[in-house]
Amino acid sequence: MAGSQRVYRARVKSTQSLKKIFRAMELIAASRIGRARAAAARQRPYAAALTRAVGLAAAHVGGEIRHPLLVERANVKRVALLVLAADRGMAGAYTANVLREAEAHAAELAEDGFEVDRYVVGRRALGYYDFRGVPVKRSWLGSSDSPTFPLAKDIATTLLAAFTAPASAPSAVGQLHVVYTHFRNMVSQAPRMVRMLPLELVADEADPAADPAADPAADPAADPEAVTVVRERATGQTAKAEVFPLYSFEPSPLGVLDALLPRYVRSRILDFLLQAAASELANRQRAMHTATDNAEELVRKYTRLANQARQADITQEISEIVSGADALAAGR
Amino acid sequence: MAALELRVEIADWQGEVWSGQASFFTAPSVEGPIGIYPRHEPLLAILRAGEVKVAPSPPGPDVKVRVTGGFLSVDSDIVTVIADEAELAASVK
Repeated sequence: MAGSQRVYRARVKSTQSLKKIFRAMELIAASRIGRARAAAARQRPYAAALTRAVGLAAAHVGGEIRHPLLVERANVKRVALLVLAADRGMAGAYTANVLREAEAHAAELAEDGFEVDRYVVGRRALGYYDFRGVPVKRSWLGSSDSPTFPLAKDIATTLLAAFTAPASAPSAVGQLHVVYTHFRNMVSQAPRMVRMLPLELVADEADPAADPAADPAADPAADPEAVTVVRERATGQTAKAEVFPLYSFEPSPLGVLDALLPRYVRSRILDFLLQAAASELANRQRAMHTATDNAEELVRKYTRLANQARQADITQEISEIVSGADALAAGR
Repeated sequence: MAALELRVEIADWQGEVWSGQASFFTAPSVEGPIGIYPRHEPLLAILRAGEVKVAPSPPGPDVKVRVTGGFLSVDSDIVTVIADEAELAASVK
């Protein structure tokens, strides 16, 4: 019948225009990945210099460093969970994967008796929590695929404030965990959980300087606390002073550390954001590529069905004419 | 023997802002402005918002970079400024 033919033609047409949209979105995502990766690469020297400086300062402070950002707060049974997801869908299972990882981790934390404060980047993740009535402490929306330094700064400031808030404050947290999507390469990205705060100074993170070996001779002008730390250390061992050049610090090793650590956190968060953005775009590109392929297949299928319907119409018309002519001939 | 020079690199999160050889360098540290000549002792200093000034070598007009804070490291005549945000002042290059 002519009806089904028309329906199929209409479907072919709409699928074709959808295909064009998918294709355009694939291309947009592809071009933006380049930009996101370049931004991540540009940020790297900054992060490397920062990491090195933190290592140096830590080495010069020496001994057990009792900086607030390095100490776990045993008296605060609340953990901040920063979830980095997407603002828009159309990226396959990207947001779903991140959320699954985040919620699995949150469940673990809850089992260990921690309260979880959720901080969220990305409209999709916020929608997920809102729909389930899960409270979200704070959310940042609108730039999940092109994060900027001010955004990272804002996030870091908020979370550092929560981490350094007095234990009695309602927003105080004892740890900060981040769930983001690690960008390994163009085809492989995986959600990952990182414990961000309290910071741990790990030796292999930058250079040997990150190892908190003491340099007792450093900076006589350090503030009182730093001096005692250095002295404690100096009585224990003295031989390790040669590992680093003798830096001087302005205002003091601890003061420098004090200024550097928040910056370090900020730069890590920016790095997470940039990786998440690149992952989101890679996922979107892949999803849109699949969608384009599927649309193509549908177009083929509907075209075939439409042709079939047309053929059936023609056959029917012919048989109607023939049988009509037969009837006329028989009636004569 | 190379002449006494500093190698200066100024970068923020978006990448390098300026780099080159210099004969003298000043920056606004939290404890007051500091000037650095070649063969300065290794130093790690926190910067506050202000203007970093570089006297390039070979001599030319001063390079001025506005920073919003950050830090500065000096080691074997390599000066690295890692700014939170840095902006090259107009009229340079």
